[in-house]
Amino acid sequence: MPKRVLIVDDAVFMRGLIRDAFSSPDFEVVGEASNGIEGVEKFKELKPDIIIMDIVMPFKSGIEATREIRQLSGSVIIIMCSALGQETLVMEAIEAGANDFIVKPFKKDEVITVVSKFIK
Amino acid sequence: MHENEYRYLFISEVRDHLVEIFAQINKIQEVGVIDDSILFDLFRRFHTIKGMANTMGQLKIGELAHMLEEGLEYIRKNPHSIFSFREAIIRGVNAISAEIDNYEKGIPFNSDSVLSEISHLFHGIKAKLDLDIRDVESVLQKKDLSGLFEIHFEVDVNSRLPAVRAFMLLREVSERLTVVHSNPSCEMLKKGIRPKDIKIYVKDKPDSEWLKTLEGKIGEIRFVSSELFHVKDENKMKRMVKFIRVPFERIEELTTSLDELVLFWNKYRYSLDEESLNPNIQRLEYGFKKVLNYAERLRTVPASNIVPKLIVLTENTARSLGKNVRLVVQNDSLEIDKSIIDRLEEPLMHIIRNAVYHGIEDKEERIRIGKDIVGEITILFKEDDEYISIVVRDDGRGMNREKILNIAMEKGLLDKDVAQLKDDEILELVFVPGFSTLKDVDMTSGRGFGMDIVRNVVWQMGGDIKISSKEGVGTEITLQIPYQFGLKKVVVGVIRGFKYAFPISNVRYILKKSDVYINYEGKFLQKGEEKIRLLNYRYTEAVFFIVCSANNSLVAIGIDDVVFVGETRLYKVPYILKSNKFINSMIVMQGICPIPVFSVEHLT
Repeated sequence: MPKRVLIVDDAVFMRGLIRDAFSSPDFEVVGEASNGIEGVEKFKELKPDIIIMDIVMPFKSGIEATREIRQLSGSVIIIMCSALGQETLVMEAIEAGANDFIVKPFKKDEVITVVSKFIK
Repeated sequence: MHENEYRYLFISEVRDHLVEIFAQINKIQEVGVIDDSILFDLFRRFHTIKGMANTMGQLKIGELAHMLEEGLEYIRKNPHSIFSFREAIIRGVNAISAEIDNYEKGIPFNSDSVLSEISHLFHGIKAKLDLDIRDVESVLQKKDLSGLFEIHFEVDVNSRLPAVRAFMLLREVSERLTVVHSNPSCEMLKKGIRPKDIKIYVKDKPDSEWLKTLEGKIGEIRFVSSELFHVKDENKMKRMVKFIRVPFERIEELTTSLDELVLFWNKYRYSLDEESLNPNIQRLEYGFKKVLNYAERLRTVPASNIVPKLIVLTENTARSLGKNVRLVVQNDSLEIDKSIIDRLEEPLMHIIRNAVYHGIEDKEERIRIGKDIVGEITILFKEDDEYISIVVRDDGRGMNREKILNIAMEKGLLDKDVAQLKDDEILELVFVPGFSTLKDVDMTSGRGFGMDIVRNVVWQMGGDIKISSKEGVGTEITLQIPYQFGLKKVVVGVIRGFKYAFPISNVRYILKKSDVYINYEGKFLQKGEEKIRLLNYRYTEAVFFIVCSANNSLVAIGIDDVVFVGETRLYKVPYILKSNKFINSMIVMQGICPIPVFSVEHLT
């Protein structure tokens, strides 16, 4: 069964890029959200296996959203999507419960490589 | 203890700390990333100086140390600030150094302006800092790492967020093990340093297999080792060694007595034939050599002792000229006889001052010609069988042959036809007395220290000075000093009734006349296929030939007899007695007049 992916990013462009990265039979992008609040809602609704989460987003940051989601589920894989120079934010996200991170700009296969570390 | 003794102890201990402090500051310059342990070491030393100074009633010195201590605490919390503070710290340390000199001479505190400047500089910091003594104490406690296990990971150099990888590793490890300390710490990682290594100190023996699995789990890290922590750092080692202060004269007395003993021993040993060499005598000889070895080590100090002054000099000279110059020090852990180091201090200072002044270009010029804006002077200490060498190299403009010739002509120093001068001979003109330009005199405040004196000092020590330079690339000056107090194995031969010694490291073999074919006309002797140049070919009565190698070629010297082979001490031929460059040193044996030692390099 393909792993179910939720993409949370305020940039349409980035969402498209990440969606493309998951265009394989092993994954299925089940939903997208454009801010932290929506991200948490979509998580509750869709129960994805994997979340790709932007850090800086309007209304609720990726870090906040990660903290809330982690309280709801210990098993969901949360991968932060960071830019260079956001070391401190990424560290905060990891403290909040994120599993790993990718750095923008990234190649498609990098996304899969990082995610694969967490899929048995 | 008498008050004066306290005074002496205080002065000498502060000076010891200052040497180490400069060495640590120098590391900061080299490494770029600040190692927590360096800051801690500096911190501890300022703390000690402060305590001692206040006890001695030197409150202003104490105040200086206190400010530096606080500055460091700030740097520890904001590692990137080190580069802006480095200069202020150096100024503070210089001031302490100067005030200790003043205190020794009985001159009152004279650095009020520095004190207020640094105070002003650190004032803004202080507010942010709000130094909490408990915090400092916890730092002190944390750093006792003995008995802990050290886990070492490397972070992939290609990692784009290495700090985050290190952070993830730290979290992962602390979930399973009791982490007492790490370098870098989480706080430092959050400040944005880019770690190459991470060392984590834990209480219980970690499972290496598990640590290895973290490579895959976290990514972009590599497990290096996990072992019981032991102190590797040299400075930490020193801290654990107990010292006893002995006046240098006493050590000199000891080594001089040993010198006499060695002469006597050699004479006695030489008088024995092989049969009378019983085990007791061999044991005695073995023990004797051991004692000599220890005695030699008593006289040596690490080259790093001289480094602080050179760094300060580089920076001060550079600052006064508006240049940016960095002094890079290599292999300064080399142990060198104290008397050598002491005598070379002034010459080295002069060479470095020259390099900053004449060698390194202005900032503007360096940018224009595409060099790094920061000029670099490298000082390298090395040793081989015969010499201690100190190389000072700069990446400046190099020497212009034409300019040197012009100066030499203007000053009437040239009596040779200019056209006849070889390239390196032109460079050597800088060593001619009177060559130094007026500016030099200004700079050294009329002390009259020029390159000619540098060369004289080196020559007096039986050494040599070499200079090479490439325009636009830089200049390199090498001081070569023979070990003055080293035991050397020599072969003593007799030529026409006179004894001469040859360092055994140069002697390839000794041939009997009957074993070789000698062509006196052609000035060579032949052994099998090999033709060897015979130096004293006029001396046809020679019975043996000592074949020496140096500079990759062989020369033979005809002798009548070999009278001694063994270890002895070399003494430098005093400069005033030097008649030629073939003889730099001599050996002294009891009851006979000094025997000259051939400097074989110069023979080939």
